[in-house]
Formats: sequence, C-alpha cells, structure tokens
Amino acid sequence: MLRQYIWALLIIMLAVNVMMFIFLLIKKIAMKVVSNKKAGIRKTFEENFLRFITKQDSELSIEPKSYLEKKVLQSLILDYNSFISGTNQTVLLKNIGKNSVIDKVERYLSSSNIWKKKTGTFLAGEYELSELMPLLLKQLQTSDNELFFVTARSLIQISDALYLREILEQAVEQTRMSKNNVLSLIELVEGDIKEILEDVMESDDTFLQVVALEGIGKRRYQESIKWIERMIYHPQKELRIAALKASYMLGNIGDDNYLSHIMSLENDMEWEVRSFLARYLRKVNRDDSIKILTNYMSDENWYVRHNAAESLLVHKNGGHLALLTLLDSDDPFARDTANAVLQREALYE
Amino acid sequence: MDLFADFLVEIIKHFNNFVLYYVIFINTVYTLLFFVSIRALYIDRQKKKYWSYEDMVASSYTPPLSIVVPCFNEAKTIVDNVKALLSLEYNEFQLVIVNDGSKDTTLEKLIQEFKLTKIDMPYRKKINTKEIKGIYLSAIFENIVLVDKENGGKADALNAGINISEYPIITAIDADSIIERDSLAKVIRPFVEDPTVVISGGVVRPVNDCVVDKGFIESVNLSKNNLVRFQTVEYLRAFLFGRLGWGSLNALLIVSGAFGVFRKSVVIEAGGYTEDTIGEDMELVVKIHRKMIESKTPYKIVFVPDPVCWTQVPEEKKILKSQRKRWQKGLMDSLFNHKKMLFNPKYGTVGLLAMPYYFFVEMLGAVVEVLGYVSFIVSFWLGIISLEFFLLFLAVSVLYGIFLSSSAILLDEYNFSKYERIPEYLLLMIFSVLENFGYRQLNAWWRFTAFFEYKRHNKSWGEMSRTEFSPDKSKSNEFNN
Repeated sequence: MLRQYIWALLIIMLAVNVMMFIFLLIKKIAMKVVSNKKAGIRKTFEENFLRFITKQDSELSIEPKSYLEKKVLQSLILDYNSFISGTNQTVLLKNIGKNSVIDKVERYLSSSNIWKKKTGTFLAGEYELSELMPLLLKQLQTSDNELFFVTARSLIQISDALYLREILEQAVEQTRMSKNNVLSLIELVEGDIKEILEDVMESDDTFLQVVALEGIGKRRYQESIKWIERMIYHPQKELRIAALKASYMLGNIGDDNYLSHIMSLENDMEWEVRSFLARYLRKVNRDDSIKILTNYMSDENWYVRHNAAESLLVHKNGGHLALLTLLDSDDPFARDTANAVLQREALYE
Repeated sequence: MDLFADFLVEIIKHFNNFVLYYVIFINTVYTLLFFVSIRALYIDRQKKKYWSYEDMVASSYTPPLSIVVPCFNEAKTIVDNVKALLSLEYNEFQLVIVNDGSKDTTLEKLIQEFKLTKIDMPYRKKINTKEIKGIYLSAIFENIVLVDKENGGKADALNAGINISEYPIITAIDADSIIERDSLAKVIRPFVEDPTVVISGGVVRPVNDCVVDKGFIESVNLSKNNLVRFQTVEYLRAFLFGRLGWGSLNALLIVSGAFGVFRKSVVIEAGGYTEDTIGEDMELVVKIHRKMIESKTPYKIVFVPDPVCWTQVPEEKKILKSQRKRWQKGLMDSLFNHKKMLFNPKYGTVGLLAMPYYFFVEMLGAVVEVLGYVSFIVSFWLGIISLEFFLLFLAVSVLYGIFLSSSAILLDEYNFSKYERIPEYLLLMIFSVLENFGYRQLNAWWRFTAFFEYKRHNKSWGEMSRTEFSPDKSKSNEFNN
C-alpha cells in the first residue's frame, strides 16, 4: 500500500518538475522576445520623447499604434513623470489613449482588491487624472495607512495644496502615520501653504501643530514666527523642539525680541530642547549665543555638549576663541571635544 | 548474539520510521514556507506598483543612515568597495570603515586614497570593544570615518562602528560585498512605512564571475565554477523560501551579515553584536527578538526580497567546508544561548515555530540525514527494506528536493529575472537536479562533523575568501586568512 503511494507521489513529483521546467522555459523565451522588442521601440521613441518633454520639439512626433508601443510610451511617461506637466501631460495621455487609461485606473480604484486600489490611486496621481478626484477624496477616509498615503500623494500631485487641510486632518486619524510621513507629503506641495499651516496651528492637536511648525520652518515663512515665539513656551516638549527646528531652518532673522524668546530656553529641563537650542545657536553669531554654547560644553548630556561644540566651530572668531579656551578646561569631555572640533576644522581648511 | 541482532534490527526499523516521518515533516514545513513565500513575493510585487523610488531618494525626510564596513585584510578590494559605497543613491549617509587590526595594507591604502587624517575624536562607548587606536576623517569626503582598532573579531569591529556611527539607522555591509545602487532606498523602505520596524534584510547573491566595474555590477553572469553554481541555487532557495517566509511571519532569525539594516537604539539596547560567537548576525537578531518580546514592545523584523547585495562565495571545496562548518556552529551557538525560547509560548511565533524549525530542521537536519543514509544502506544490506523501496524513497526525496530548488528558481525568474540568458536558466535548472547527487550529501557531512566538533564561545573572522574585483569579471583569488 505504502509502496503504491510512493509510486504515485514519484510520478506526481516528476510531472510537476517537468511542467515547471517547461513553463519557465517558455516564459523565459517569450519574455526575452518581448523585452527585445520593447527595447527596440524604446530606443526609437526615447529621443523624440525627451525632445518633446524638454520643449525642444513643439509637437510629439511619436504615434504609438500597437499595444506594445503604447506600453512603451506609458513606461516612458511614468519614468520621466517628474519632468512632465500641463499641456505635455495632456498630449502624452492622448497618445496612449486617455479614455482607456482613465477607464483602467477607475476600474482599479473601484476594485475590491486592495492592491489594485492602491495601484490605481498611484497611477491617478502619476497621470494627474483630475477626473478621478472625487473618488480619491472619498478614499481619503480610509483606515488603511498605506492607501491613505498613496491617496494623499495623488491628490497633491493632481491639485497641489487644494486638499492639504483635509489631508492633514485625516492624517491624525491614521494609527501608524509618522510625523515624517506627513512631512514628506507636505514636501510634495509646490505652492504657497502658509495660510493652511497657520490655520493648522490654531488647532489643538499637538501632532498637527508639530507638523505645521516644522513645515513653516522648512518653507522659511518668516511671517509665521509668531507661532515659533508662542510655542517656545508650550508645556509640551515636542512643540518646543518643533519651534527650535523651525527657527533653525529660518536662521537668524535679526530680530532681538524673537532671539530673546528662543534663548529663554537655555535652562530648559529637557535635554532634547537644550540640544536643539545648541544646534540653533550655530546660526546666531553673537556674544550671548557663544556664552550659552560655552556653558553647554559642560552640560550633563552628551548630545547637548556635542551640538554646542559643533556650533562653536561654525562661529569663526568668537567660537574658535571659546574652543581654544576650552582646551584648558577641567572637564575632560569639553577639552577633548574642543580639540577634536578644532582638528577637524584644520583638516577641511 | 541473536538477541542482539534482533535488537539492532528493531532499532534500525524504528530509526527508519523516524527518518521517514522526519522527511515528511520537514518537507511539509518547506511546502508551507513555499506558500508563505509566494504570498510575500506577491505582496512585494504589488507594493512596487505604487511606490515612488524617486520620492524616497529625493525626500529630506528619508532617515539618514550610517553604513558600517568592518574589514580585516581587505587591501585588494577595500578602495573600490568604498568608492562604490560612496556612489550609492541615498539622500544622506555616513560611511564608518572599521579596520580590525588588518595585517596587510588595508589601512595605508585607505589613508592614501581618501586623504585620511587621524584626529582625537571623543565618542560615546555605548558598547564595549577592544581599544581604538585611531579615528581618521577624510579631507575630501566629509561622510567617511575610518576607525583603526586592535583585532577583536568581526563582532567587535561592528560594535566599534556602531559606537562611532552618527545616525539612528545603521547597516553592516561586508567589505567584500557589493550592493546595488538602489538597494539602500529599497531596504530602508519598511522603516519609513512602519515605525515599529527594527530590522530589515535583503537578498544576498553570489557575485563570482559577474562583471564588476568600480565596485558596481555591470553585468550579471552565472559563474563558470560548478561549486558556485550549486551555491547559487542554494542561496536562491535559502533567501526566497526560508527568509522570505519567516520574515512575513515576523519570525526571521537570520539577517545576513553581508546586508542588514538595523535601528541603532535597538541594537545598543540588545548589547550590540556578541563577540564570543561565530554567527554574530543570527545571534543579534535572536537577541533583539528576545529583548523586544520580553519588554512587550511592538516590533517587526522584515525581509525585503528585492534589494540585492552581491557577495563572493567560495570557489574551493576547502573554503566552502570551513564556511559551512562555521555556519553550523554559529547556528548551534545561538540556539543554545537562547534555548529558553524554544517551545516557549511567551515568545509567540518565534518560540513556537521559528526556534523549533531552526533546531530540528536546520541544526539536526544534517545529523538525521547522514544517519539516515547509513541506516538505509544497512537496512538494505540486512534485508529490512527492499531495493525497490530504497530506490523509491530516495527518488521521492530527490525529486522533492528538485521541486523546492526549481520552485525557488521559478520565483526568482518570475519576480526578478536576474540571470537574463536562457542557457544560464537551463544551467541553474540542471544544477538544481545535480545538487542532489553529491553536493547535498557533502554539505550534510560537513554540518554533521561540525555538530560533533562544536565547542561554545569560539570566535574568529574565520577562513574567508578574498577577491579582487576587475572590470572584466569578478575573478576568484581565494586564500585563507
């Protein structure tokens, strides 16, 4: 009995192995033929395509007819997507059959298969299909983090800042959406978003306020420093840190009152805050900032001391003088760090 | 005498039954892993369709990374490899090269090529290491740090690199390995998408006979060396089956030392790489699993099948033997160090599935296999089993082995298709058949002997193969350390 089972198993295994081998061989040969053809078409298309998107040619001289040619043009559009917009995008979509693309993407978006939904959402953004915006907006309510991110990304690609407020509000609802994920979405917006970010600062959600504050700094909205000044005194350390990160991006704006607000954090209880202050002060070459940094060289926390040393190095005269003085310090870390920072300076000069 | 003979026959019969059930058991496990891997590859394939690599590389919010490159007598390849690492497509990274007391000209070559100057740089010694003789910074590349230290083994070198590293995410890359330009962005993706990810590993493939220019793969070729071809099939099976499958169950116990990315704080909390072990890469991953589960911290250890690291594999039997023995002993080290986790429900999937799998299949597999061959031959000689049964059983297990290997080739071909030429595909298929006649048995024998030679707390860089990369092809030039 056992013998018969083993014989049967043997024959099945043999058949499976042979079938797998033949299937793979056919697939390999077929793919080789297709990829050779695609490579040939791409070679013919690419130069004209590039001339068109770089506006060296006013008209697109490619007319894809076969299925394979359309596929190649599609892949070229996706590959060079960041360089294509406006009328160029419209012309290219027309060439690959805009209606069929919309149909396909819409079908994907309405699919119950989550992977198709995500792919459709991504393609809607890549092809900037504004016709599908209502569907995307509805999809923004999803509880799936990944789908939310792809949807938000596509909405930004199609409409830039138009739905940013909605995106930020929904981001709070996502359980695993990190601050950096949201900031990377904001980074994709090309237009002015000062009003939206200021509006978000009015909310009482710490996560959103941190994101908005860092966004304000990243975009160097000097008009929004009132929010930095206000958040410097916030009881939540995350907001104080975000305020310092924003001020670091803005640099020294030459406002004494604003600087005094920031420097008031000198004796903050949280080492992270002191550490970010030490980093910010590399942008402020003044006697009082050098004094704070010199004091920080004996801080109990390593990161504060490290950032203070790096910042002192940036302040050429006063900073170097402070570092040279620290070479005779009783504090071995301050002494060694000052030495290391000065040696590195000599290396890059 | 008769009584003894009867007793012996009885023992053999029982052992044969055990081998039979054991073979059925491990093949069932492999089949389950195969299905889990297919699912994981399907998900990976889908994810690629809605991921923008360009966004990832361009974003200022992609986490900065420290690349730790431990090296010991790597004078032949180190400069090319560092240059290749400097050309990786990634927003912000730092290279921490750790010279672990090389006896050749590794240090001098690095100093000369990258204009390195020794400076007195204080650093935080979060993990204990052997004495650091000097820290060097480059006058031309601000993101290169060279650490020159006393020889202390690979784990010690990695720990020294972690101490010096600046960024919150670290990756350890072997100095004789080559990673593809886009691999870093791909392997870091899970960290960006999910804050609970603490380790991410990628696929390692043999680089022998590939065309390598200035530290980058110019053309992928299947090696002309038969031993390497066997290993190519083996690597495909190990990475696309085992690791991918365990990774998707969050129970991956090995992330290759040649290419793994770690959250630095978690590595430091786990005490860094363990020095008195041979398999420091497995040991670290198991330690992290244990630490995270015991502290009830949500975490994920993932495997990404696409990012590829190309590494030299042995072309000589002697070196391969030494490598396989080290792997077996390293595996045993980690399993014995964490025996508390075995079948312990407190450790979830890791304790109930992964640890028993590595114990019974990976560690004891070779022992059962070798004893099984002996027992079957003796059984046949004593007339306990017929020739037909003996051959049938052998044929089924060989055919199943071929099925597993060719399935791995199929998965690779379907998803990545790294070997483009049809003759290469045919060769891979042929070697997936041939490996069952000699190579597999040889491997089992080496692991069997390593099992009995095993002594705990042994450490060394081991016998490694060194290769000079050339624009013509990666030519083998192996020697023992």
